[in-house]
Amino acid sequence: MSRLTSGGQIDRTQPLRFSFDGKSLAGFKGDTLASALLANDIRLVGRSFKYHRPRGILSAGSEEPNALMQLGQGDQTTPNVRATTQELYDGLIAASQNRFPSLAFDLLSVNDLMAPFFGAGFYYKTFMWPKSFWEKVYEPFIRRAAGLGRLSGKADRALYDKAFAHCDLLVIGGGPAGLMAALTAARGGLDVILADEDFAFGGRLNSETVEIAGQPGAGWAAQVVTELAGMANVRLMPRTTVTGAYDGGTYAALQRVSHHLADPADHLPLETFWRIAARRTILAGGAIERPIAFANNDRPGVMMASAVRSYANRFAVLPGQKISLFTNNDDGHRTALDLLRLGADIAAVVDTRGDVAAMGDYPLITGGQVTGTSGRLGLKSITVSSASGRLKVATDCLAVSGGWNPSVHLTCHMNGRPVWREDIAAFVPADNAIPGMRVAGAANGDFSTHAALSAGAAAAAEALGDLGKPAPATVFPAAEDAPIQLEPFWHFTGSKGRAWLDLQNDVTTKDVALAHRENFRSVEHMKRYTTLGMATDQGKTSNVGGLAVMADLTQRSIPETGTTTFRPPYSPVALGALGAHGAGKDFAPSRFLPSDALARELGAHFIEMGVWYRPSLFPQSGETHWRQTCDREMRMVRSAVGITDITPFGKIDVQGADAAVLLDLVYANTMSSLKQGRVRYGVMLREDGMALDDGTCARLGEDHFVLTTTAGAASDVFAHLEFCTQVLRPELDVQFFSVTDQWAQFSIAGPRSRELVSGLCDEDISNERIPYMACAEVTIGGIGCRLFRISFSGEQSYEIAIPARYGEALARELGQRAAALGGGWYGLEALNALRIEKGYLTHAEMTGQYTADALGIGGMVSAKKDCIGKVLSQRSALVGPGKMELIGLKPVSPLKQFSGGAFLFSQGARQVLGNEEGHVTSHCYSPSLDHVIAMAFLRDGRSRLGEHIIMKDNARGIEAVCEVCPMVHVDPDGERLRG
Amino acid sequence: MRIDCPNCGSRDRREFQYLGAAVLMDRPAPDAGEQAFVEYVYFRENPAGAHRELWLHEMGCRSWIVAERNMGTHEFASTRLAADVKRGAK
Amino acid sequence: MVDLVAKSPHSGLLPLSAGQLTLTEAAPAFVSSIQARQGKSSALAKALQASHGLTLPEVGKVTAATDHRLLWFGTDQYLLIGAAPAAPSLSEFAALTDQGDAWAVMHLVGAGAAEVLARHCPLDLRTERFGIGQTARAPLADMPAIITPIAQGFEIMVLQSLSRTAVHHLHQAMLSLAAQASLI
Repeated sequence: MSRLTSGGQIDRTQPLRFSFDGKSLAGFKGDTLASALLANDIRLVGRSFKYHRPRGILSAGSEEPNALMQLGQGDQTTPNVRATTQELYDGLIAASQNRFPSLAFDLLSVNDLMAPFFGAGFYYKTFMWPKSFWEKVYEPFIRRAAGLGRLSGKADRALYDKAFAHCDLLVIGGGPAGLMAALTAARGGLDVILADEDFAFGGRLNSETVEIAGQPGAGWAAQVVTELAGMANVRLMPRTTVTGAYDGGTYAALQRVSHHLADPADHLPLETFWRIAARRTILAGGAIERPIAFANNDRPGVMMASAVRSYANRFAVLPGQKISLFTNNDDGHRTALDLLRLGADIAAVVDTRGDVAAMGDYPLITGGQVTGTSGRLGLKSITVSSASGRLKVATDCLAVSGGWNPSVHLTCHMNGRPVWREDIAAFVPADNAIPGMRVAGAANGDFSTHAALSAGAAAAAEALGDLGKPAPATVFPAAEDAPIQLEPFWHFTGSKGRAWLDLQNDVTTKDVALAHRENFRSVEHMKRYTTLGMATDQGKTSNVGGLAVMADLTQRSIPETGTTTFRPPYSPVALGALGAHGAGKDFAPSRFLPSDALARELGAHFIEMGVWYRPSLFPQSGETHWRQTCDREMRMVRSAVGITDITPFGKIDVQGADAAVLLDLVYANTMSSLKQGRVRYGVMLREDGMALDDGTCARLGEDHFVLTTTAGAASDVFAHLEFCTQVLRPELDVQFFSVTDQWAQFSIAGPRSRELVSGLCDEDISNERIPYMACAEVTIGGIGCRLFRISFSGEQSYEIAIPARYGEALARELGQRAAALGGGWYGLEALNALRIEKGYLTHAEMTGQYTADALGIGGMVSAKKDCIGKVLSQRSALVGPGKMELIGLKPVSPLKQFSGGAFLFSQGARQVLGNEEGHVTSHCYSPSLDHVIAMAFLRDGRSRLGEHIIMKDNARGIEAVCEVCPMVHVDPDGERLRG
Repeated sequence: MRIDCPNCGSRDRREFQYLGAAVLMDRPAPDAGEQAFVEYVYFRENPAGAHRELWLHEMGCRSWIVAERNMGTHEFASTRLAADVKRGAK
Repeated sequence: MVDLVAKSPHSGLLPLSAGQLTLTEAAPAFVSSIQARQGKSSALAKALQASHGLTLPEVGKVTAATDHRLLWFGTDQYLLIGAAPAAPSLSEFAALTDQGDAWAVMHLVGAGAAEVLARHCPLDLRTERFGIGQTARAPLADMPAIITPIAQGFEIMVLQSLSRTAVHHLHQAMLSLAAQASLI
């Protein structure tokens, strides 16, 4: 065991069991999976993506490229979990990835021997020829080899949540700078959100031995967190990664709610995806230590120095028995001191710099370089070259420190390009890269604890100033202020072995050299050619290293070579979290009819029309096919009476002295001439001349109308009216309000409809008083209702609108009374077929691509007045010969069914795209005619009545000869309507 | 993205619906001819800078809003009720 | 004469509770839209004062009397809740529609009510920014809603046809927040 007997921030009173690749292991509360594995002396944790190289834990944070695990088992397993951020819990089950049959013996590691063939760009070169191999050989091969973890292929049963939050100040990162910023801002009275990806606030204070105000840094952090937790204006968000910065001060953040729980309670989400709106932001995300590239620097046991320090100090784990260090800066020496203090055996400290002295009692090699390593499944030794020659040092853990890269990632999300700072040899965020965001601490290149604390306080004071509040008087805690001592050293080029840059995508310095040779020298080209930085870690530990290699090759400086950029998300976000609240039926709101409960009692089948659930069929016993039900319902309407719930039609109440002026503007036909108590069919155009929607307009009073729209276009039409009254004609005295949900509305259609309706209404509704296209206010059972004599089926028909609370009761009453007259409920299938028999339009024809003329209602466009869309509806291309016209179709010889969308060809024409002359829009079987019928667009269709044409549907293999006929198939003179 | 509704204040962008350039406020006279309407409906500038455009506060107060937005940075310089702008233009 | 029985939009759906939170139906007796006619805002204000004892609320505000109140709804648009509008005196200055059946009204009350609402509503719900006396139209799980702070929580109005969906989402959020409240 590598676990120290004391120290660290683990809770030794809470031992936990977990398993890795089937092996049962022990850890403590406060461990990450990575620290617990190291404590159990497990160093080999995965195989690399391309070459299946043995890999170990590199880091102690979210930048980890290697230690990706499959968590859980069965159908609820999660791939690619970073062991370095996963909190340990009792019963955790982890498995290594990308190996077969086992981690220690992996067959695909043969790829490593084939490495000369698999260099950068091998996809483009290898899988090119022969072309026929792509689908059958290459793609299946690549698919099998690709990826790291595996999805279960089963539905994800986990709950995901999302939420909105608002604050004055969002502080990203809870290290010294972030804590100081949050404290200063909160004491100054701002609403503060403090988010940190770790489960413990404190950042590097938890991993280091620095002191603040005379006490250990971690203790100071805990004290600050306690104060913040007690303030009503502070929201602490641990386990929360701010993943993206967006316009206007909005940020995305992923909170891991129950990933750390052994047995999450019911209803507990796994993760919550937050949208945070912040007036100001302070990014205090710290810095990420960078590796140095040298031959075989990817062996398990080669780690970042800061990670070794973190495992030792925070988790009380020594990651090796004999630890060596390779550094180009003073920070590496501080790691050695920490390790010595904890009783570790230091094999050597190798410093690339010549003129440095040891800070403690450890062997130091100055001006040295690690040039190679040995150990197949774990580090055994390193080779060091220096002025005094080559030296082999036995060591099982090499801690590497190549300096620090500030975490600039979020500052790149709105096109900000980091700028190079020579003194720290690193990129820092550009000024004002994100409006409203300040960057403080190590994220801005201020690496000392003192600098971080003061930058955090200063940034908070500025944010307070921005928001008009004075900064509070804060006693500033004393802390170390060591200067940066660093000499850039990126990679060792002298040896033969491969030196790794991007460990997750298996990219080496040689791949970058190849990209250079093949002239992919721009950073963007190099990145895509080599895939450097394109893995799930977005190259957090490799981008700058790759840039440095390219800079050397092109003999330019790093800033001349290019810069780094990062896109959201900072670390991967599960699709489940992005889609929270939207899975399955929750994808869109569901709207239910007033008669919904009754329809369900009657065993109706439902379909979704937009967001409405509407009955499609009301099957009766013995009916085994939908057509039996539909045909019966149609016959019922044509012979007796049928009821259907048409509440989803948009209903808009329009009032005002200029109401008619507005309606004349938006309808192609004239509404100002409509008499009170009458209804008129109307069509609205878009300004480009295409039909927007059709519906009815009833005049209830001199200055009072009520419009109906189709269900699907209700919101578009409402917004269109708002556009006309607010944007075009704000001087009009017109007021309108949606009454769609106020009124339940039912259609009662069929020759016995009047019999039914007159029995219900308290008033006389004779044909004389309520003729076709009349409307009136009536009462039913004492309830004020509106009665419209309009039809969508071609039958004598009424629509009753009743206040919605009485909708279900009226529906039950209508159903019973219809049944007594030999009628009943009918669904959308019958409704649709009835209207096709009559040639009435729906969204199948009114697609927004056709003019009123094409739809056969061009005569409605009034010549006497202006209307929206009038001018452009008469463009020459839309009125000349060859224009589309809606017509009817009937089969010439027996046909089972027409085909929606099928093309129409002239007889004898070659049936190829470009020769088509139209297409079928709606079709049904007509029980009245006992054959199938259709509506279709056809070039010059109205002048081709009687012509035989070919309907061709290649997808369904249907071809039929049809006759072009008028759209209205049943009762062309409309006698039934008026009767 | 946040948008300042002149009525409701700063709101989430997902409450709003974008229509297009504010030239749509100036509908040609009915007798202006086909070309005037073609330009009104189809012809647009695509500036890499300030752009006047129409948004509907669809899920809020349902005001049409004239916004001035920088197309490069998405920064809003101003937002006004379209009705007020239109009335002011007269 | 037929006897039609009214059914509320939340019939069979509410009340619900989870943890310290409750969601109850709060159907008002009357809801009407009032839209000022062109240039008649101040005349309407006087008429409302005379007939209902209410001043016209400013943008995003509510004015209230004992048993009825006036919500700002949009430019020159208001909802009168709890009293039938004095139609004859108001109609000269405003267009009225009956909205008494259009809305499903709920009260979400209890510690954490704002957190529940924040699962589905992008409004800034912090008390100091959105407190009693204010009202806002905003999306609730992609549905148009009217949110009005009340003691210990919020009044939520959605279109009646969407009541089932709204209750479903709010209830799931209540259960989720109740479970999260038990986390340390």
